[in-house]
Amino acid sequence: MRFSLLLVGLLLFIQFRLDAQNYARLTMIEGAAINFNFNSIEKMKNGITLNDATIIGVTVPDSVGDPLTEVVHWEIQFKANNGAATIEGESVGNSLPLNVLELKADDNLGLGTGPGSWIELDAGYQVLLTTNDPNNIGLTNTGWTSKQIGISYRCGANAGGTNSVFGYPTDYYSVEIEILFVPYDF
Amino acid sequence: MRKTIIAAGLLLVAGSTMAQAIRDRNIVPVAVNLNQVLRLTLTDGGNIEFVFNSIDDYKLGISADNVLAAPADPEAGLNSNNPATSSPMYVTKFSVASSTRWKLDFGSEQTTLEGTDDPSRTLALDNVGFTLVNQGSHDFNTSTPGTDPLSSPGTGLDGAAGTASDVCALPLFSPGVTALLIQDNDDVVSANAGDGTENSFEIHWRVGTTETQAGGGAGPGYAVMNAVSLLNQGDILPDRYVTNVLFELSTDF
Repeated sequence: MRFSLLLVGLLLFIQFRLDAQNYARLTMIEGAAINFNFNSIEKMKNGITLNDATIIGVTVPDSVGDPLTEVVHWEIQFKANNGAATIEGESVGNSLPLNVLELKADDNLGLGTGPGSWIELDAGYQVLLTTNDPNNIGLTNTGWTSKQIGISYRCGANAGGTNSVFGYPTDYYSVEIEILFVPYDF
Repeated sequence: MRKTIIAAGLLLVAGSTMAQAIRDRNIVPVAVNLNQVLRLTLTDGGNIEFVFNSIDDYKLGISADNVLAAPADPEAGLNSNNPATSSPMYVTKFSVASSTRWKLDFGSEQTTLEGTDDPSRTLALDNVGFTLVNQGSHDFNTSTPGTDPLSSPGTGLDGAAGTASDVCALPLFSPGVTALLIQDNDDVVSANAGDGTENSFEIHWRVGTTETQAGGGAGPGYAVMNAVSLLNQGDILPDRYVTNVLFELSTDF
């Protein structure tokens, strides 16, 4: 009986440790909605770039050194939300390909240096930033006020190429982008 | 004891489940607002004036080009013999900036050129001719589907630089009917959308040169020039004959 109680107590202890400390949270600090306004040929030709338009804070457990819960490896993934295959205009039939939009993530605060690279928006998840990249460091013992990711956007930046918005009908196009924080390899 | 072990097992399983990596996500709505940009700019030659003050002018005509087509009027001779010919005074330069596929109509506001001193005096429109030369980096086809004139800088309506079949008579302005000057139907979705560097053109004007392109039709489906020189058209009374040439730029989708 004593052994049983001891066993149950031990398991409860382990459970509480795992349960209480295992979480990750993204906090939108600014740039919750992004707008590109193309109103000149110059913008049509060169595209519009919005640097660090979205700032997201990252919160992970205070678990430095704990082999079970420490968040060391992580990545930011993104994709068009709700399975969108195009960027739909308000007028029926108007659409832009997803790849006119490109995203880039880098350190805004406390993550070390090293910008990511521009990646075209797609219907499937793509890695925007990862700790496998030697330019980026892992997250341990962090809160959103001290660890922040900057996400930059650009649209129509490749004039004449696949990213150009030249030639598409005038309209208001919109799409939702899902930003996903994925800790892995505990 | 058995119940204890089962309970312990359940707790362990529950604990393991809760220990899986937890993700979080945010949704960022992104909007792209495409405003239409459509602008035509005449950079030079907004007012073209031909002054006929010699017999050579009346016989040979006056042109921005030395000679493109052999004149139809046997008395006319080559306009390159006319010292008034090949002057930049007779060139209109313009550019188009557009965010979408576009087309350009143009033509005379009136059915004839009218005398300034006496409006009852007229001069037929087909005495005025023109060629269109692409000076930008885009290539085009014009209103003749399947052909690709204006294919590169320096080329004219028939796809080659400065040849006889480039020469057309000035049409009457009637958008969508006969006055279509430039269109692009054979390229990618963006087609001729671009800035003024990419869409840059010259119109080379001429009057009375009787270039009727004996070997072929006019480039974009226009009429050919009057085959008779001004000298042989009867008594055209001295006057200042004028008309406005209208340009209309519009989207093409």
